[in-house]
Amino acid sequence: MKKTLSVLAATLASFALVRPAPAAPPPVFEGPGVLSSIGQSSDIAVVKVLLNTKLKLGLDVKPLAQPADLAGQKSLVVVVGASTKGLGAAGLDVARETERAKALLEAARAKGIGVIALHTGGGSRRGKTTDDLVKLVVPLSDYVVVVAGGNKDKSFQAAAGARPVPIVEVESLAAVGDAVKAVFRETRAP
Amino acid sequence: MAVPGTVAGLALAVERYGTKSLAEVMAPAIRLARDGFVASPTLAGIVADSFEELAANAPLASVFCPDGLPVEAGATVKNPDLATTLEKIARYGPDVFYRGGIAEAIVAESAANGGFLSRSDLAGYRAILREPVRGKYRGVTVLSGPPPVGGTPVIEALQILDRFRVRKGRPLAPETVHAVAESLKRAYADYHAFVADPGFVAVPLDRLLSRAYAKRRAKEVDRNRMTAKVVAGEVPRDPGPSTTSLVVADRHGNLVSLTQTISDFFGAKVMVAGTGIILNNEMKNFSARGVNAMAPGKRMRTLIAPTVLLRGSKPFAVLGTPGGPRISATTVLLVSNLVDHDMPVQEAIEAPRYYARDTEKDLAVESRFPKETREALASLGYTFQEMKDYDLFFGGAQAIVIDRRTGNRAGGADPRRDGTVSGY
Repeated sequence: MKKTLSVLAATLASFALVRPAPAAPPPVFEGPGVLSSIGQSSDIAVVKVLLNTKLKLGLDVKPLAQPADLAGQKSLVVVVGASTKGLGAAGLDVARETERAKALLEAARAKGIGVIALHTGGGSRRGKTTDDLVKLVVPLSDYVVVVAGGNKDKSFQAAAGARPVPIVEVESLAAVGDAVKAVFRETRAP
Repeated sequence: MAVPGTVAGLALAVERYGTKSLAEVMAPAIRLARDGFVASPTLAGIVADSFEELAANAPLASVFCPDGLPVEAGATVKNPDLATTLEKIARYGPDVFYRGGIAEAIVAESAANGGFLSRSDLAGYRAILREPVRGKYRGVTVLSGPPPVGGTPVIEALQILDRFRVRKGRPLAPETVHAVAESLKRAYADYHAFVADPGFVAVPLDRLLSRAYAKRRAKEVDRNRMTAKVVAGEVPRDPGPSTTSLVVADRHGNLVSLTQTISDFFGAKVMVAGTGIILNNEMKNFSARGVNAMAPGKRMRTLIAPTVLLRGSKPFAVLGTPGGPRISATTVLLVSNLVDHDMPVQEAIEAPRYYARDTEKDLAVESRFPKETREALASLGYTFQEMKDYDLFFGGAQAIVIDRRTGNRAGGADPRRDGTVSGY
């Protein structure tokens, strides 16, 4: 009996050791904000409907936002997804888009602007270029929402590395709006 | 939009060669339109790509953007208006589409969106039976789509490639990729210069598809250097990839390779209210000048290339693919994989794809394309556009290979566009 109890005690102790720390409260974001694309996929058009038409967040939609566009803003929402067609239409290549994204995100951090990163396209919106952009964006974000089909390999968690970025997986596109609404304190009429 | 030909073409095929009635062969499509089908990740992706345009057209939005958002993978897509339209065609024949209330609705929708389609355009449409173009590749007879569709560049490219040695089992060896790319560039250039509606233009098929011409074109290729500029005709706008391909082999020995297109994904992005029909945007496949210039009653060229391979007089394979301008390249690679490398059909379809064209600076490659081949090709002057590992940009090939000894059929389908294989 004593042996059983000691084994039980050791098991409980090991559970205590590996139990995750209490989750930090989710960050809170507020308007005004900018909605931009990282990779120039058409997913930003869908997010615009979700966040502006349905939730009425009143984000300024600037697919090619530059650091200067962050003046006076309190939030930056970026939609991650690479599109060769979209990049071509914008006159960009991957290197220049990566450079723009890095400058935008670093400027947001420097100004204390909260960054929400969204990946809404699911598994069909993954690929090397998108994956490289995810690795760039996630560590510079404060809150990430991803449709589950796009994170089956947990690459968003891997991209966050040691930084405790809240990563919320949702099952559907419609739920992306709910996940953003949950952390957005103020809304502004469009 | 151009006059839609699919209804007349398929009805003629069923009438001349079918083993079932029009109503019987249409029943599964009617059922899918009425009861719905499950949206694949690929469909969800292309709906999202066209979201703003689809959302702007109420009938299209009701099918593909329920609740104001793009349909998601796993959801059921229904198009009951299309089911009703198909039932009318099944019951009354193709004339109900070209002359009846459906025709009036199409003309009205075209006019409402700035189109010029008239009732007489629809009423006057006739499907035309044409002889396939024919060539040889390493002893295999290649039959493919005649002008104004795109079998000619497929056969020309294969016959140029036939002049080069290809090492069996090494489809991505640098010298092989170079030979394929150079062959394709010349075939595409000649397609632009010479291929158009044969009812309006004398297409020099005898010359383009002769062995002597292939030999001369092959001699132009420098084995140590990429040709930066191949002599080309005018360049039409890039046709989009909203094309569908299927292949069938039946117990009677009949083979069908069917490729149909409305040009871009969702064509003109307009659905005719009450019919479920999406209008095409094929008119952009005409050129401003040259052999493919627009003219009354003329049919625009496209690169679609349904293809049959024969060994001797016996069918060896039937294949086809969508993919806009990549159709020729993908068809050539598929034939080479089957003939040069003896690949099983599914392996031949899944093998890494690449695409070279006279008007493109880069060699487009799937990300699985070997690094060492890229390095070797870079030394010949190639630059690259990297696509996804299995990218729908390169089409969605379907093929059936028939075993010469046993007669067994092996089907292959392309994961790039949700292809499937079925046996009955």
